[in-house]
This record gives sequence, structure tokens and C-alpha cells, in this order.
Amino acid sequence: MTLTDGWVGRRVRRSEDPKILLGRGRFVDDVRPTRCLHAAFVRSPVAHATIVATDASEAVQAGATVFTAADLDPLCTPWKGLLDWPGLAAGDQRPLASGKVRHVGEPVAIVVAASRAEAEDAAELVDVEYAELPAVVDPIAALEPGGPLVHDELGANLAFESWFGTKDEHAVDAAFAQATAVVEVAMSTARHTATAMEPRGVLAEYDPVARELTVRISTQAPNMLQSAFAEILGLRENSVRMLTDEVGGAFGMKAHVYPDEIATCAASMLLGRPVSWIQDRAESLQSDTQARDERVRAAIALAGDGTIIGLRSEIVSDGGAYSVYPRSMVTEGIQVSTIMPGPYRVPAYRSHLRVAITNKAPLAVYRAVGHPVAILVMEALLDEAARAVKLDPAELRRRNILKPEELPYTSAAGHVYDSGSHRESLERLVDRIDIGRHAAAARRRGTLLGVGIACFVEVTAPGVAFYGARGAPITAHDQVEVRVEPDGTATVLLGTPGQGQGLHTTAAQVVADHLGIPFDRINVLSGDTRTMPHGTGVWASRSAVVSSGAAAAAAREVKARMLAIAAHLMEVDASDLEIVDGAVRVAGAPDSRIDVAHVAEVAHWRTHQLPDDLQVALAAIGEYRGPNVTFNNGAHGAVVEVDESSGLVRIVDYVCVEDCGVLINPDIVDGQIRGGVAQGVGGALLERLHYDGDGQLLTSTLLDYLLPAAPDLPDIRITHIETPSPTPLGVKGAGEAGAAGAPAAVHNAVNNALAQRGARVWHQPITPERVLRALDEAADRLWPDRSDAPAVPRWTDPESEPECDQPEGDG
Amino acid sequence: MKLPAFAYHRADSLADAVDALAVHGPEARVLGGGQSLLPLMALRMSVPEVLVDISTAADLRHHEVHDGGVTVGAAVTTRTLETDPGVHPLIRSCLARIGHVEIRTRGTVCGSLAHADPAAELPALLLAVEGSVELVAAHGSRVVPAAEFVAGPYTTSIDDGELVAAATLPAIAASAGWSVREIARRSGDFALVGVICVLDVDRSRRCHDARVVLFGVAATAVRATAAEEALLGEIVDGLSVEQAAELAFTGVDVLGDLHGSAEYRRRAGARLVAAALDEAADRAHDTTTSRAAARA
Repeated sequence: MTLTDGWVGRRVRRSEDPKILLGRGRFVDDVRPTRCLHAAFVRSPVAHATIVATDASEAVQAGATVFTAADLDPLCTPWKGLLDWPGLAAGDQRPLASGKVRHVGEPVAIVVAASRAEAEDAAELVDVEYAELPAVVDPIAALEPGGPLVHDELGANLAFESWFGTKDEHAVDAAFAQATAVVEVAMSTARHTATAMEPRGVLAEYDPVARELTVRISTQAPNMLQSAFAEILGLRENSVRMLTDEVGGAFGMKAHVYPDEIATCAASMLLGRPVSWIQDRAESLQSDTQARDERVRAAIALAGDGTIIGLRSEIVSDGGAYSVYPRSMVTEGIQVSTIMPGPYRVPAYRSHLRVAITNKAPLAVYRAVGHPVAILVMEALLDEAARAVKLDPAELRRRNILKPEELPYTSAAGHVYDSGSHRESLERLVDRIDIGRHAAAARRRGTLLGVGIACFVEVTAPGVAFYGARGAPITAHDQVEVRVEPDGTATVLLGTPGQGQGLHTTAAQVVADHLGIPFDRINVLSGDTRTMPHGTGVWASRSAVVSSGAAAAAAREVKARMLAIAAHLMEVDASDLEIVDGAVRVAGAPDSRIDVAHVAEVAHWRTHQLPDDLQVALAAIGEYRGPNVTFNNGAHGAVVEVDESSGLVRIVDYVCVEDCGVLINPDIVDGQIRGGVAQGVGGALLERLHYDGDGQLLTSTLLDYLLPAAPDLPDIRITHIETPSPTPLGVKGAGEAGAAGAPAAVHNAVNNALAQRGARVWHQPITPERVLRALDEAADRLWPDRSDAPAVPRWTDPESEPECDQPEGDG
Repeated sequence: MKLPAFAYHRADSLADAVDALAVHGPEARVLGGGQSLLPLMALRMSVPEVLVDISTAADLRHHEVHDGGVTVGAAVTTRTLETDPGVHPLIRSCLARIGHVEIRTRGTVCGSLAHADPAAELPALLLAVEGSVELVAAHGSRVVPAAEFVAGPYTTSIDDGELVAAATLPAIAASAGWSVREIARRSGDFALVGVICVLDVDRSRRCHDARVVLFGVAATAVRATAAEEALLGEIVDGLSVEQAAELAFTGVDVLGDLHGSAEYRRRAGARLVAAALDEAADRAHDTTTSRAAARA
């Protein structure tokens, strides 16, 4: 096969798939060392209570070992995610609840036995006496003084407050004062969780002689956890080894220090035996980080021709009980605030954010962090504005969206959009939606047809500014080692492991091009902090960018060494040589060639043929160097049918136009978009973690926490635009773009349908009940009970409140 | 979410099963397809000491079709019945709405009846076709008609030691029209509101049999008697159907949950019943007309 066109850009089949599809992947639960014990947790059944007493005697009599906070606290330094956001306040987290429990599912005791079933049996025998306290459930009420406190020592339930946007606050007031049209919306999104197919899990093996801890763990950031676990457990970093092979989905949820995972390690340290804990789905729904719990009031000011002249937003983010380490509880809220202006010219913007502490599981980052909410609110505002000024929604966007000549562009919230195709994405989207095609079917079925569009920008591959510069063990310069074996094959060691998203495949494509050897001669490995180069993990749509950048750097270095050796063997100048398809050849004289395998053999075994001063190590570590952030962009379009008799929404067409710069593997990008759209559709229509007024989690199984499945999703049609980014290979992140825009497109489509009856919905998920109620109320068929719509914050006066500099962000 | 410890008895016949149930009494549960029982055990909401597995009992794995109706043994799966073309389309259409194909491939018809989930299709179907179950114990057997079988949510008239050995789902009259409709948030979910209608009309479209069964809305599947009575003896047309649908929830104690309030279920349910009655009336009309045509 001749590959003059290169491997980057091809729809190469994923090298990860055969072993996963054949059941030969190695997940945490696939590994069982001898003498392994199994853990189960006693978790709080209530949202807020004082632990009066814990009696584990029956469990111990049944043969289990039970540890509580009193046993583990001496081994573990408490932690909390503060970064150095001004004023961010949070309570300490520990492996097991000490004194108080603060959310349903918080671990109270770890029970270790010979099998998981026996550990669960014994856990049922542990008797914990709770004195219940009033639960803090509503995040807006939580901020009122005088109510119950989640953390008494903090004196309030306000974790964080800040203003973002244009420095001159009067500019926004002036814009609204002179506006021809002002539109306001009050919206909310519901708590979600990632529901990774592989739940969290840990296999901890402590060697008390060497004082070394080996942790096989389902995570997206092994090096970060290595540092964090060493710090918390008082070990040297080179004595903590994190192993991760296959990871069955993470989505931002596996990028944190979790109490149950630390407790499992501490139990292994106390027992001197391997301890395995594999989370079950009930635990996942209670104790994984949660997301998207945002309430937003926003208003937009327009000039008579539809030009946006001002934007303001008031956001309350429900942060849950703890600020996760190291990413903290504020990232989502900050991004709801700062992403809202999107790909539009917004000359003046002010946003007020408050993050509340409540008796719920911690809120943290989840695929597209804050973007789905920000984009939802902005795009809903634009649709309402289009109705107000009687413009076509696409035309209103067209008048305000950034043009290529305006880039790079600094948004009113301080984000720098480096490159993109904002206007073209919108036009391509509009071209691809054929509403006429669906109208006849909708008429036949007697449904209301609606079309919704949403344009987006998205933070990808951010640099050190957001986390590292704020004190977290998270940075941007991931490393990749490339080495050529004596037979001319290559091994690539990634600092950042794959999570199922095809990172090994794309890394091999990049190395194939930069080394000049075929894709199928390249073996990619990752997931062992002891042997792999350093990396900072999968987050913010970064891994394709940083891994490809670092891999290319390493491959270039190794290639230079091979060329130097080949130049000597071929007695030509290295600058006249190229490596193509596994052969070193003289440029312009392809018959004058030697095989890479020959070069590798000489470099390893026949070094007597080479001058002494020639470097023979065909291995190098490359590091990622790139801009502080690169923004991808695109547009989503949904066509829905709303059944007026049931309120059910059916998506009949879905289009996504996506620009993630240079495509390494379009199939993989398509898969990322489809998965993200599915999660976004889930958020728009189905997913809600439902806490009742006492903070009890009612959605305790997947029978009640509704995820979209294949029959609930339409075909997703994808168009790619490739605007190169200023990163080394012109690549941008793509992993979150689907999730970022889908909730807005679906929501706008539903409201476009409902508007035909004078109705709207403002809260997600868009349940059939909310739709039916909106239709009934628009027709004066009032409902007797109050609706289930959450409260939305009122406007706050911008006085001398704290203000933060604009971060790069976490996609 | 591991199952609690239990003893396991694999029954190789009905007699073996009822003997085991007689020995273990209330501590035993019957394991059919396990589609409801095993998740409940994993959640430790059900902790039986003994499971009597009837899934391979040869004499319980039969079903017998008679004129579109069917008598189905305890170990017969939903999928087996659903894919039998001899079974009346009302019954098959109803079965096809149960969960997903994987669930129907393991789950049993009698097991679902015995479980008596208020949102499940089968207890509603049993009411709609006015069927019955045969309960067998070591000391004898009895036949319980549909109306007396389910007593409340997850509660039936099955006594300790008894097994639902078979269920009979009679065919509806050849002239009758029928409809099965559900509102569910996702494909395969339990219905927020479900309805099964059977309507029989004479040649002048006067209704002489009306059965409207609601499920997913109350503590058990229920017959919407007010709607049925409104239709009986009336000419079935747009107006009478609409009036009947408005009465569908009269006297029904509608319950709400996370996925839909009682008010939602009443409002969406009334429209669903109207659509189902329309469809059933159309089918009844078709049948009568085609029979008349066949005679002519």
C-alpha cells in the first residue's frame, strides 16, 4: 500500500475495538489477585444527619472487617477542591463521613469480606444511628440567611459568588436602556450524572514492606490521581502506581478524588491485602459526581435591525455538598456564565454567578461542562428575540454571528476564539434542514412540527491557566514516548490513557505520518504511571490535541535520528532523505531506498557500522506545546414532532455541523458527536436526578433515571468543516461538541412547535407533562396543582461584588 | 446489588414445584423468567429463602391455542406467545409492548401476572379478555377469574404454596374491535398511561360489549366502568366515544409518580382512551362490514 496522502484524515478502523468486542478488554473488575478481599459500603440513607452511633459488631461476628472514619482518618489528610478562586469556600472531604452525613449515598463505613456478596450481607448488619437534620435542597432558598447549614463551620451555604463579563457594568445598562427590543427568559436544567457503562472501581494493593500502593482504577486522569492519592495517603509519588487499561466511559465524572476510592486504598493499607471495590449502579447514581443543576435568568437587548447590543444573566448553580478535589464545584457555573455569548458579537455582557452548597451529591464537570446550559439559554433568547422582532431565527443569527475576518475574537466574557467557521456552520446547517420533507408526515400524524437551531463555540485543549495556575495537579504538557523496535515496528506510550474514544488509533495515525511507517506497524500503550510518560488526563476535549501534538513531536525526533543513521548507511545527506511507507528513500529518487527495519537493526545491533558520535537511541519523549486554548465551533439542528394529546416529543431529524479543525479520523469524530448528541438529547428530554424535599434521591435505578437508548434517537447527520487551529497539527478537540449544542437545538425545536399554540416550555427535561401543561395553559385549560418548575433566581443589583479574571476553562 | 443468599430448587414438573412450595411455605418464591424477581432481590427488596425454579419444568412449558384464545403454562415466555400467529392479534399486540425483546424472551406470561405490577400489560390484558388463572397447590387447584385475581399493587389472591400453573386468555368475539395504546417516555418503558379497549357493535353500530381497561394509572389495572356503561347500548360514533373517554377516569383513584402526576395521567389518559376507542370502533366496524360482505 502506498500512502502518499498520509494516515491522518482517514476513516481507519479503531485498533481498540477487536479486544473490546471479543470480551478481551481488561477493566478493573477483570483483575483478581490472590488473597483479594472485596469491599461494600454502608452509605447514608438520608440527606443530612448527625451520626449518633455506629455499631458494627454483628457484621464483625459475620466475619467481615468494618472500618469507620475513626479508623481511616489517621491515614488520610482531608481534602477539598478550592483552586484559588477568590472567596471559594468548601467543607473538608474525608474517605468516610465523620460526625455528619451531607448527602444520600455518602459513605459511612467500608465493609470488607471474602466476596462482594458477603460484604453486602455484612454491610446490612452495620447499625448506624442518625439524628436527622433539616436538609438543604433548594439552591436558591439555601442562600437565604438563617436556614440550616450544610457545613456549620462555613457559616453560610454560599460557596462562591462572582461577576463576569464586560468590565464596564454601565455599558450593559446603557444597552438595555436604548434597546428596541428586550427579551428575558427564566430557565433551568436538571441534575444529570454520567452513568458510565463501566461503573467506578478500584483494586488497591498495598505492599507494607516496600510502602508501595498499586491502584488499578477506572479513571481518566491516572497521573493526577497518583499525585493526589500520594498526598492524601502520605506516600511518595514514586511509590504510588496507577493502572488503567480499558475505561468504560468517564465523561468528566472519573476525574476526581472520591471518598470510596480513597477508603478502599486505606483499607488495603490497614489489612495488607488487595481490596477490590466495584461500584454498582445504585451507588453510581448516588455517589458519582453530578452536573447540569443550573437555574438561569437571562435577558438580551436588540437594536431595531436585530443587532445584539447587550446581554445579562443571573445564575444559581447547585453545587451539592462538597467541592470535589482537585477541580472544585465551580467550573460548571463559571462556564454557564462565560460561554453564554457564544459565537455572536455581544458588545456588552454582565453575569452574576452564585454557587450554592446543598445536601446533594457533589456537582462537578460532565461532558461539555456548562456549555449545554449556556448555549441553551443563549439560543432560547435568540429564538424569543426573533419572534419579538419578527425575523427568521436563522436570519437573526446571521446578523450577529462572527465572520471569519473578525477572528481571533475576544468575547465579552473574555474568551479568545482563535479560529473557526461560525458563519459558514450556520449556513451549512440551514442548507441541510429540509423542513418541507417533514411537514407532510407531521400533518398526517396530526402532530405539531418544530425546528430548532443552535450555534456553539466550545473550549477545547485548555492550557495550564484554569487548573494548574490555580494550584491543582493538572496541567497541559502531556508527554508521549515513541520508540522504534529493532524490527522497524514502533511502540507509542501515551501519557494520557484512552477512555474508549479511540485515542490509541488516532495516536497511531499521527505517528504513522510523522515517522513514515505504516499504521499497522504501530502499537500504542497507555495506562501505567510507573512506566508511561507523564500526562494530565482526558478532559476538556483535549486528548486528541495534546496526544497528537506530543506524539508528533516525539515521532519527529525519532525520525530525525533514523534519517541521520540512514544518511550514513546510504552515504547521502540526511536533508535529501524522506521516510515513506516504512522505507527511507532519496527524495526524487524513490528506487534509492533502504527499509526502516534495516535502519532499526543497525541502530540496535550493528552499531559498529556507525560513527561514534551518532545517536542510536531510536526513542524520544515529546511534549505538547500549544496555545492556551482552542475553540471549536459548529451548529446543531433538530426537527421534532410534538404530540398534542400526550405531550410526547419525537425527534424526526437531527443535523450537526462541526468544525474541530483538522480531522485525524472522521469516523471517530462522528462517533464522538453521536454519543454527545445522545447525551444532550437525554438532558433535553429525559434525564433528571430527582431529589425530593427531604433531599432523598428518588431516581435510584435506571428504571427511573431515564437514559436515551437507540430507539429514542434519530439518525444524526453530520457535516464536517475543517478550519485549522493554531495547535501543532491544526487539530481541535471534538469530544464534547455533540453534548454542548444538542439540548439547545432540541429545546428550540420543541418551543418552535409549541409556539404555534402560543405555548412554551422553559425547563429541562422537557417531560410530556410539562409540554401538555404548557399547551393546556396556553388554551386556558388551567391545571389545579402547582407545576414542578424549579425556582429561578431574581436579578441581583451589581454592587461592589467580587469579580474574577476570565479563565480558559474545562470543556 | 448482589443477591442475598438463598436455597435453589429446580423443579422438573408442576408436581415437583408445588411439593417444594408446600415444604417451604411463605419463605419460597417461584422463579420463572426472573425479570422482576431477580432485580428486586438484587436491591434486597425481596429476600426469599428458597427459589423454586420452574423455568425448565416440562409440563409447564406448553401453551394451547383455541379459537385465537390461549391457555398458557407457567414457564411459557412472553416471546413464545407473542410470535405464535394463531394467537389473537389483540393479545399479541399487547405482549409486544412489554419491555424489550430481551425481557420478553426470558420473562413469562404467568410470572408477570403473579407479580401484578400496576403498570404491567398482562394483568390489564387478563381483565380485558375476561380471562382467568389456574392456581395449583399440593393439596389441589382452583380457577380464579380475572376480576378476583389482583388485589392491589404487587398483591394477588395467590396463597402460600400456590403457583400460577396456567393462565387462560380467551379470544374476543370475532365481530369485536380492539385497541391497545400506551404513553411511555421511552420505547419499552412501563406506560404512564395504558389502555386496552374491546368494543363489539351490531350492524347498526350499536354497542353491545364495551371493555375499557386502564393500567399504569392506579394501584391495579382497572376497568373504566363509567366509560363502558356510557357506551353500552349506544350507537358508537365520534360523539359517544368522546363522551365515554371523558368518563374514563370517573371513579378511578389515579396515582402520580416521578414521571407523571395524577393530573397528567387523567388528561393525557382521557385523550388516549378516546383514540383507543376510535380505533377499536373502526376495527369493530370493519369486522362487521366484512362479515356482512362475506355473507352477501
